Amino acid sequence: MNDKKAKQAVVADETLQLVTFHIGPEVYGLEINSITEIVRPHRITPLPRMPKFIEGVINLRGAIIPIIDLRKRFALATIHDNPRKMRMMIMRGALQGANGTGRGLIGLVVDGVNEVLHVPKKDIEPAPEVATGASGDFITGMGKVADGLIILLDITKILSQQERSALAEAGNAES
Amino acid sequence: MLDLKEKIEASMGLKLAVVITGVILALMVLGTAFVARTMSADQYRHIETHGKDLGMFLGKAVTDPILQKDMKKLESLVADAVKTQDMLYTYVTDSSDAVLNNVVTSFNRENPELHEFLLQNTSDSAPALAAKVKAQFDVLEIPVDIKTGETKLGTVWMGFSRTGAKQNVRGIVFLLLGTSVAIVLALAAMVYMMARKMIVVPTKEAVSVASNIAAGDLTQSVRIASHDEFGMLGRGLNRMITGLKGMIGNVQQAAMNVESVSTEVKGASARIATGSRTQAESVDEAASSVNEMHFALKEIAGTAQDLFATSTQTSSSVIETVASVDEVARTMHELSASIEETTSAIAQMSVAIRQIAGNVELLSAAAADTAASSSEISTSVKEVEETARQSLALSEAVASDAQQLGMHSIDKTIEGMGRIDAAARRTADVVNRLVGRVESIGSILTVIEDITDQTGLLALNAAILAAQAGEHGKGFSVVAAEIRDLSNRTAASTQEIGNLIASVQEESKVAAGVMQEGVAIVEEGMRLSKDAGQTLRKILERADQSRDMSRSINRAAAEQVRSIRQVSEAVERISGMTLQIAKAANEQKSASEQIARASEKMSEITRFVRTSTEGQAKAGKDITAAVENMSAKITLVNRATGEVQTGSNMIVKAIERIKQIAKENASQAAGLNSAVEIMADQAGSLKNEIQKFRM
Repeated sequence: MNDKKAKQAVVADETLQLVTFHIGPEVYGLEINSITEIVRPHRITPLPRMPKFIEGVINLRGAIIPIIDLRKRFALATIHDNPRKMRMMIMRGALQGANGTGRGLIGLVVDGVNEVLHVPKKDIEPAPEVATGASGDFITGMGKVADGLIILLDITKILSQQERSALAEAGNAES
Repeated sequence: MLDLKEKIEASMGLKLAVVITGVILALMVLGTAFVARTMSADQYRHIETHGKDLGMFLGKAVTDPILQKDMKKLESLVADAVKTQDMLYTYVTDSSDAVLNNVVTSFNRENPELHEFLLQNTSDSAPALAAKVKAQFDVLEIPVDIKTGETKLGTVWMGFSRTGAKQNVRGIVFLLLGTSVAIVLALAAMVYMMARKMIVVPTKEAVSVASNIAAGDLTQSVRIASHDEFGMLGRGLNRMITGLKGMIGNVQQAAMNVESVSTEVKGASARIATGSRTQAESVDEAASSVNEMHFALKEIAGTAQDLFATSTQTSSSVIETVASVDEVARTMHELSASIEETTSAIAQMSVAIRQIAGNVELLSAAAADTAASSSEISTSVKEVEETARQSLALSEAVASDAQQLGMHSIDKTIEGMGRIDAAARRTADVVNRLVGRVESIGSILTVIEDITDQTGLLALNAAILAAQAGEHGKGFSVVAAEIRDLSNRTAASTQEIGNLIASVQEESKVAAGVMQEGVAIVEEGMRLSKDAGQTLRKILERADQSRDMSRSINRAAAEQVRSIRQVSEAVERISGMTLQIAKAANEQKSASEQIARASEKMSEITRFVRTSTEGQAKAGKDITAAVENMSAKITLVNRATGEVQTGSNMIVKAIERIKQIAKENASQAAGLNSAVEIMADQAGSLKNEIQKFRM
């Protein structure tokens, strides 16, 4: 039992636990700790006077959560080839504070969620330099796995400072 | 009186004198009257005042006597008082109007008239007598009260005569009047004298000179030396005389000129008059000769017109002749042409007739042949008849066979087909139901897939939570993994089922397709058998038809035999006829030859006629040309005469106008002459008049 625990601790230190998802043909990954829940896409209620990167909000068991379409965000065409597989990933950490009923959560719409992966840290490369800067620093690195690359994202960097404040304002106005 | 009036009117001096006299006299009279009036009033007042004074004095004087009743004193006072100038009477009354003094003493006896009067009239009462005197004489009565302090004792009554005053006044008046008359007369005389001298004399002088001028004597001039208005008048008149002299001198000169000119003009106008007369006469002559010419021209024109008409007629008749000659020529042409045609036609006819003769022979030969062949036709026709009968029998047999056997089997086939069709349909229904079931399985499958999805999701979330829980979540992560496996297996099975269903669907679709095909084939079979039935029925119909046809063929064959017999009879007849035709054709041939010869002769004749008519035509054309030439010339002549005529017309008109003008001229000349005469007279009289003036 102790070995197992130790092993697992080692594993915990040396590996990164991700949840992988795909948008289009590309596979992305987000740290497991930042994910609250994964659900099937709910009906998005568009709100007036919301910043335009916000598609709208959903009501998830009473919580009002703003939704961002990652496809749009990554400026890919909005085609959904398998609507059955689309998911909403409810994330925390993108916003600060616990205003309103959202508790700082946002929802990301993705084409599909794959699995929970443990990727050894040694298999993770830092992000290429071209992907840095204001629009790119949410990519923390590239994970190498058997059948390709996983683009690792940082949820805290998904929204820029401006966007966060705008959302906070809107949230304030709401509450 | 009238004489005087006239005299006054004729004389300025008298007028003035009279006027002045009158005016001043009037003024004087008025003045005198006024003075008289004023004076008399003045006199009366004087008398009154004097009287009053006297009265007062007397009153004072008699106061005491009255008071003392001293009548004597009173009487003496009154007697004294009454002797005053102009006093007629005086008496005193007391406060009760009783006369106190004696009537005798009351009156002034020193006045002769009064004295006279008093001798006639006496009275006891002074007032009564005084009243009488007042009535007789012009008296001014003055009462004056006698007063002592405030009490009135009585009244002094005084009567003054006004005649003295009157006389005074009268005297003055006369004096004034006399003076004024004298002044007036003196003034008048002076004015008269002055007027005469200063006005009348110069005026008379001017008047005499003016009359001289009127008479024509311009030698005298006005002699007025004064520098006043009359002097100016005189000088003006003199100036006038000088001016007149000058003017009249000019006028005299002019009159003389006018006279000489007028004589000349008279002469000239006389000449004009005679000239215009001669002009008029010559114009008349010209007019008459022009008229003669005009008439001559008209005649010429008329003749030319006639000539033109005649030439036109000639021309037209010539043209007609030519035309008719032409027509003859043409007709000849036509005739010759038609003769030619006839000739050729006749030739053709001969040819044709020969042909006919030939043909007729052929025809007879042919007729013989026909007769032979017609008998052959009869035999063949009989054969046809036989054949027709046979075919009829055959077709009847076919009909019955088809009827019996064919329809029966067809019906059976159709029945069988129907059964197959029904079976196929049932199978198809079954297959369809199968497909439906498969689809419902598919929908259930969707539900299962959904569940699988949700399960997967659940597993994922569980895994996430487990990971997040770290140590504590390990047990749960196992559970999550199991669930995940489960969902994966479910997913896999679902997939398999899905595949199976898909394949079953495919198969059933295929089966349905095949069923459809089978059904289609069965339908096809049914249709075919129906068609067979139809065809069979048609065959039956045809068999009937062919039976009918062969019957009719039979009949037709019989008829044909009959008609062929008729044909052979006809052919016989034709043979006979053709022989006749041959004979006739020969006869025609000889006749046509004769005609041909005759027509040849005709052609010759017509040729001859044609040449002669052509000659004629040519001659005719020449004539036409000549005639036309003449016509043209005549037209020219006509036109020329016309122009000449119009010209002569114009001349005549012009001549008329000239005549008119000449007449006017003559009258004008006469008028002029008379005017000139008048002018000459006027000039003469003017001269005479002017001559009157002496300068």
